[in-house]
Amino acid sequence: DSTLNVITSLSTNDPMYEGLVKFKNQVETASQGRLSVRIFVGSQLGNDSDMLEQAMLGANVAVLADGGRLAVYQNELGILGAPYLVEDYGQLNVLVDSPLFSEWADSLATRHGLHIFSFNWWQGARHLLTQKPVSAPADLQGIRMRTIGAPVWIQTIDAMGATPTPLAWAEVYSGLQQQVIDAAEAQYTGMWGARLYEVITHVTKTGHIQLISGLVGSERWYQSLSLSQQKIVTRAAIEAGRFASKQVRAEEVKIEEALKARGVVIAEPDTTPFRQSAKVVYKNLGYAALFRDIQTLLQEADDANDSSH
Amino acid sequence: MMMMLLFLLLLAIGLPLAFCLLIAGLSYFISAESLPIAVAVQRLVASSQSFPLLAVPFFILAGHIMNHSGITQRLISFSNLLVAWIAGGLAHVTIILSALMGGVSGSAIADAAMQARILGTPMQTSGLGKGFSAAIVTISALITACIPPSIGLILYGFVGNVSIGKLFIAGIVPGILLTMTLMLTVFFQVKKHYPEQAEGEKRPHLRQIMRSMNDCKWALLFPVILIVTIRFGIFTPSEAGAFAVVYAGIIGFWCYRELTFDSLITSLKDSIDDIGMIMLIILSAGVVGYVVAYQQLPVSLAQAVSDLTSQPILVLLLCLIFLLFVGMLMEGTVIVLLLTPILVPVVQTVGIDPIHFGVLMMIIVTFGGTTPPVGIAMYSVCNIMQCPTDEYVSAAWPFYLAVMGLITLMALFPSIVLFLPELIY
Amino acid sequence: MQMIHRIERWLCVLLLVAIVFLVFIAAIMRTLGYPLIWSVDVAQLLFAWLAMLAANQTFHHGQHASVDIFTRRLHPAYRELLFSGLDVLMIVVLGVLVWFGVELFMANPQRTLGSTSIAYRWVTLCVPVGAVLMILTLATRLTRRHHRENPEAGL
Ligand code: NA
Ligand code: NA
Repeated sequence: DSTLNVITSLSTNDPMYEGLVKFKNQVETASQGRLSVRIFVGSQLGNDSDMLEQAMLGANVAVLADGGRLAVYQNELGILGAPYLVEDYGQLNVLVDSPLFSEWADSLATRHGLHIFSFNWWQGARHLLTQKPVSAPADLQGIRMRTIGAPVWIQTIDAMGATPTPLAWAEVYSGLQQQVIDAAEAQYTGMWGARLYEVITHVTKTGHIQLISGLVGSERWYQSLSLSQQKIVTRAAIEAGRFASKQVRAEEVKIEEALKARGVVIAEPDTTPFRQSAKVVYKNLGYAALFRDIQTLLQEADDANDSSH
Repeated sequence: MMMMLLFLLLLAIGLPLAFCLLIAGLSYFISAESLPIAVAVQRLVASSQSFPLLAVPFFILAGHIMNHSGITQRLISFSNLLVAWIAGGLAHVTIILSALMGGVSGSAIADAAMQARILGTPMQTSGLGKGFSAAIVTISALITACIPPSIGLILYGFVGNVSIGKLFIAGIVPGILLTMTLMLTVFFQVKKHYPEQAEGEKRPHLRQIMRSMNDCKWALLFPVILIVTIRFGIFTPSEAGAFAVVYAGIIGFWCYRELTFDSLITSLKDSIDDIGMIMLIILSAGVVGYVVAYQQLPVSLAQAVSDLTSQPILVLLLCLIFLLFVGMLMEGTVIVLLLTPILVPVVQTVGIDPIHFGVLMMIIVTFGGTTPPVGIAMYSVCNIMQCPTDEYVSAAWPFYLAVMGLITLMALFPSIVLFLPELIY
Repeated sequence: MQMIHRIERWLCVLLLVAIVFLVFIAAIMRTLGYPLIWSVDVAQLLFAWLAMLAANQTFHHGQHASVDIFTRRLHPAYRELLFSGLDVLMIVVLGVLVWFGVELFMANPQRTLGSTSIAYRWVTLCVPVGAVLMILTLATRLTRRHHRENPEAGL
């Protein structure tokens, strides 16, 4: 089948969706209509883990998934969701273009039948959404903060001082409203889409995790394509990821203005104490050596960049 | 299309609904080359992995325990005192009870199943027909879908990116209107079909009401505590279901002293059969839901609607008619999850308030659950009360008309739904 | 057979009690500020098993919802025949679920359940196991009906 079904848990209002539309258009025009892409929003065909499983089974599907979800298959990919790993989009690109990363991707494809089309879909930095001002980890003591129910996230929130409380994203709004939880953490576009600004008063820009996703699909489907078609899909996926990330950046500026207009207090604290306390996550999850490797890699790229200027 | 015909054929020859859904769904997986059949099994399992769905077994169990703990009897006698003097007696009691307990339950199916257990037999012994009793119990569950908290509205708000707080408040007035409409319909139906019921008892004195309220304070406190815990703290709707079970147990054991260990075990065992029946249907609906989504059936249908007209009121009515049709074929929460992201943009582009649409969608989708061919609420109730489907339908159609009338009214005059949320926000 | 059935019934009761307990305790602990991270995931694992096992119980004690408009009007002998045919059809469908359920169980051992380190395949397993139990129930019912039919035919 020459159709690829791309699934995301996000809605059509999310900038990632615009990226997927670009991916669809580019694949369809470049392949002169021989390949087609269908986009499904709102997890219509299953949640992200379900979709990865379907791709493994050989269904012609792909999904926007974060590193944490892929970590059960390829442990190293889990580090992409760890706190304060990369500083910006440039560093992210250096990382996913590195031989280190393609080693992981190859292993994922051969061992588990999952193909990474591109891993440069940046959804924004995660910030703290609270009912009171926060300036240091100590302020988070005893605060029940909703986070994603995966080890990296739970460890990160715990290390930053709050009490991690996993809750379905759908229940975060009512949970905050009814004080089932005291706080949440999310990227700007996510909190905007879920209207969390209606139920919180403070945004603290810790940027503790860069939310990075990849377009991951069935290796069996990818291998059924001709070489030139494979190139078309890969190139489109990379360009679409870049485009979507740019959209996010533009969107975030607008959202921040709108939040201020609604009276939400936005604070930019010194992130050093949060960084310090989050370091323990790497040790706890066994990523300490890998973290050093990646920092060296990023440092080298930085130096090369500086010397070329 | 083939799938639909296969489904209807199997249903007609008496194959259990869950298996009709399963076979229809599996037939597509077998014919589609790019879809491994193991994915169908995944969808079956995945349907059970939804936290809001846990409310279903909880409220079924809570209903059974309440039967044995004296809570239900006291609530019934209170509702009895309040409205039994009106022609139709227990039918009105059922509706009032639905409104009382609707503020607690988020699931229309659970509500209907619970009330079928509690009120099914008493209604019939009071002289109301089996089909009539089943119809009242099922259709009054619509009130549950409106009055907050409603799991359906939470899902709609999430998927459609609509304010959940506003949706909750918008549900209150329609819930009350539904209660009144159903009571009026019962009044006229009873006059017509059960004239001996129309006599009624004397109206209660205030003193009587106060005494009865005191007698059943734990029972009356029950919905109030649940609403408060959900609205202002502590519990999500699913957790409130677990709380309902625990509360009903505590009240039965220590306050009313009517619940015994043996009757607790009996309630658990009775719940298992209800849960097995309802859950197998919901799980199988997950397989069909995947196929429906995979074929992008909703997308093409919604597109057809917007191609037809851009007149807001016509688009709204078309959407509602479409939802009514889909609601008759599929499970309510599945529809909300599948169609909200498609229909909300359609109605928004022609200028319809998504809050307004959401409440109407919730009512009409739940309404679909009370009608053949795939009304899950209807099947649950008819199964529990052992009422033949055709007997149910012949008693239910006046209520269908009344509810449709109310929905049309609310569609034509959006302010009926919207004035309260606009007042508060 | 009777033995399996009774064990299953008690297992269902235990599962239901455990689910209520887990969700209730989770809510209480979170309110107190000590959220139990795994409780809801485990509750959902048990819920999947409860659903499949209870579905088999419904065959024993109640009835799975079906439309009876047509079958009610059928001659009893034909109705029995039709029901036997439907039982066979259900056994075939359940057989498909067993086969592909086992395939799914084998295919993805790495996937974990929510925030826990429990393999998700233990959720998946409820389908083949539940389907096998339902096949046993239906097969027993089918042979019983068959044995009963013979003397009736003699009359
Ligand atoms: Na009711
Ligand atoms: Na409700």
